[in-house]
Amino acid sequence: MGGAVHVFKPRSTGEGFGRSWYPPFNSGASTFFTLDAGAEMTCQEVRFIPVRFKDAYGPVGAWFLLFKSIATNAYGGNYMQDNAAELDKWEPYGKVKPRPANIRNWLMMLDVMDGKSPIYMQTADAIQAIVDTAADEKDAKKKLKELEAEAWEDFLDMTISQAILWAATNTEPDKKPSEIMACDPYFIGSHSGASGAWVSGPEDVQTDETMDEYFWGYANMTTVSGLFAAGDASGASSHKFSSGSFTEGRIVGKSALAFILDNNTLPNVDQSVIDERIAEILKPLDMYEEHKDATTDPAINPNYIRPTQHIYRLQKIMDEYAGGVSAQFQTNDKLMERGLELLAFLKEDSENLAADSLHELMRSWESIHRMYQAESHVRSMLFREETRWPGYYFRNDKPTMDNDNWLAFCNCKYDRNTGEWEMIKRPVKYITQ
Amino acid sequence: MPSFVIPDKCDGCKALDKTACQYICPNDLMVLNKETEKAFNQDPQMCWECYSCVKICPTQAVEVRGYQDFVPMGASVTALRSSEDIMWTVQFRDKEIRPKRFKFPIRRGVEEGKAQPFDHYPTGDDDIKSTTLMTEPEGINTEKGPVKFDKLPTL
Ligand SMILES: Cc1cc2nc3c(=O)[nH]c(=O)nc-3n(C[C@H](O)[C@H](O)[C@H](O)COP(=O)(O)OP(=O)(O)OC[C@H]3O[C@@H](n4cnc5c(N)ncnc54)[C@H](O)[C@@H]3O)c2cc1C
Ligand code: SF4
Ligand code: SF4
Repeated sequence: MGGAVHVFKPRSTGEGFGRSWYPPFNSGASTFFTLDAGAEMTCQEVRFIPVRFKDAYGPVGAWFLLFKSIATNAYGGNYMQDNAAELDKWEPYGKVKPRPANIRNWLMMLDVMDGKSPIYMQTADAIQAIVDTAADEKDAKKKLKELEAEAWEDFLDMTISQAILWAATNTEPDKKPSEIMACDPYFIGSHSGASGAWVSGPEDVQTDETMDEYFWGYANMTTVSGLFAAGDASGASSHKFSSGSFTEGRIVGKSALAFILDNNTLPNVDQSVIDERIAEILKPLDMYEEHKDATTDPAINPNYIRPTQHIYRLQKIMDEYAGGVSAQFQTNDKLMERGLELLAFLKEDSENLAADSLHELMRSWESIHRMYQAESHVRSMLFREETRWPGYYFRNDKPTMDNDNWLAFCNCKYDRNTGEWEMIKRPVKYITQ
Repeated sequence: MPSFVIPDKCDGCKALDKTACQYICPNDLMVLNKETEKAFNQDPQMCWECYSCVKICPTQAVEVRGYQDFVPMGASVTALRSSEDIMWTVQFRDKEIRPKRFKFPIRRGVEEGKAQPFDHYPTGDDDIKSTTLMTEPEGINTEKGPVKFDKLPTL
C-alpha cells in the first residue's frame, strides 16, 4: 500500500499542497496496518528527502547521470567539491561512489545554510558541453533537438507539473539554469529511504551467522504469521526502486502462496469483532451527523475535528518538532519529546474525527494512518542516539555518527491493546563482504 | 485548481455507470455533479497533476492549469493520447517562444493485449517452495554478466 507522504508539512501550502515529489496517495496505510497488527517495524527513523527541481519537483536523474550536469550555488561554487572535507565525518559510507542521496543533500544544504542560495542545475552548460562534441553545425543542431526532446520527455513522463512550471517561467533548458531544492520528508522503503516492516529474508542467501537473525520461514513475511510486505512496505532495503519493488512483490506472491498451502484453514473471526471494527471505521460519519447542527457552520464546531485540520496539525507538529522543512531538517531530544506530547493530544482528538462524506471518511483514516507513521518516526529518531544521515535529519544534541553503539537497526513494535511501544536494537550482519 | 473541466466538452460520460475521470483518479478527486451532469475536481489542493483524468477523458474535457501558489499564469501543457502515442503541446507564458510539440510512443513494440507474461521462457522449476521465481534462471538474462557497481544510479 505504498509509503507515506504529507506526514510533514510540504513546502507549498496553497493549491500546490498536493504537489509532493512522491504522490499524496501514499498515505501511510502500509505502516499503519503492519504496526496495528503488532508487526515489528525497522528503520522508521529513516526518511527520504530527494533533491529535485524546485517547487514542481521534476526529476534530476537524467540531468545528473545522462547529461552529466553539475549543480552550483548562486555564486557558481560547486558544493560537491567545495564541501568535500565534510565527507570525512561520515566515513566509510560518506565516501562511497556514487555519493549517497542524503550526503548530496547535506553538502548542498551546507551552502544553503551559509547563505549561498539559490542552488542551480546548470542545464545550459551541460547541453552546451554535449553539443560541443558534435562534428559540424548540422550535427550540433540535431544533437540539440534530441537533447531538448529527452529533457522535456523526462518531465512529461514523470512530473508534468515541472513542464508547466518551465513553460510558465519561460525556461528553455539550453538557455538558462533551473533552481533545485530538497523536497519535504517522505517515508518510502523502496527508494533511498528504508522504513518499513522487518521481514524474513530469503533462505538461499543466508549465512550461518545471519540465519537466526534474518530468517524465519517464509521470504518477506513480517513477524506476524501470515502477514507479508514488499516494496515501500518492507524496510531495510533502500535500493529497490520500481523494478525491485515489482520483484519483491513476485517473491511475496510466491511465499504467501506457500504459506497458504501449509496453513490451509480459513481464519475464524468472530462476528462481534467484525461488527466492532465496522463501527470503529464508520465512527467519523456518526460523529458528524450527531453534532453538525450544534453550530451554524459545520466547519467550526467544538465537538469534533475535521480531517483537513487534523492533517494540518499533524504536519505542523512534525515540521516544527521532528525536523521538517522549516526547521531545516534539524531536531533534538527535547523537541522530539515535546513533539510526542503534542502527538498524544492529536491521537486523543482522533476519537472525535468527523466526516461529512465517504471522501472525508477516507481522509480521516488516511490522517490517522499518517499519525502512526509520524509517531513511529519520532520514537525511532529519539531511540537512535546519534546523527547518521545528515541531509535527511540532524540531531543537534547528538551531532556525530556513533558506530560503536549505533551501527545497528532500530526496530519498533506497537501494541494496539495497551498503546505501548517497544524499541528494539537489532545487529547488522553482513551477507557479503 | 489543477485539473479543471470545460463544461461544453464534458458529457458526464453518459453511457457509463461511473465516469471515466472518477474511475481513474488515484486520489478520489474527480466527481460528477448530478444536477449539471458535469464533472469537477472536489479537492484541488490534493491534486498531483498526474494527468490521468486528462488522458482518459473521451471528449478531451479535462485540462490542467498550474498551481497558482507558485506557477505564473498563461502557460499550458496539453496531452492527446491515442492507443500508440501521446502528443504533447507545451505553450509558454511568453508567446514569442514557439510552442513545443512532442510525440512519444506509449508502447514499446508490443501491441495492446498481446503481451506474453513469460515471453518464450520456460516457467522454471514449478516448485512453490523453491527460492527461484517464474522463468528463472533463463528469463533473467544472466548470460550478459552482472551489473557493474559504478553504473548503479542513486536517485
Ligand atoms: C515522480 C517519481 C519518479 C520515480 N522515478 C523512478 C525511476 O525512474 N525508477 C525507479 O525505479 N523508481 C522510480 N520511482 C519510485 C517507484 O515508483 C517506487 O519505488 C515504486 O512504485 C514503489 O512500489 P510499491 O508497489 O511499493 O508502491 P506503489 O507503487 O505506491 O503502490 C502502492 C499501491 O497501494 C495502493 N494503496 C494505498 N493505500 C491503500 C489502502 N489504504 N488500501 C488499498 N490500497 C492502497 C495505492 O493506490 C497503490 O496502488 C519514482 C517515483 C516517483 C513518484
Ligand atoms: S471523463 Fe470527461 S466527459 Fe467523462 S465525466 Fe469526466 S470530464 Fe466529463
Ligand atoms: S490530475 Fe490526477 S490527481 Fe488530479 S484530479 Fe486528475 S487524476 Fe486526480
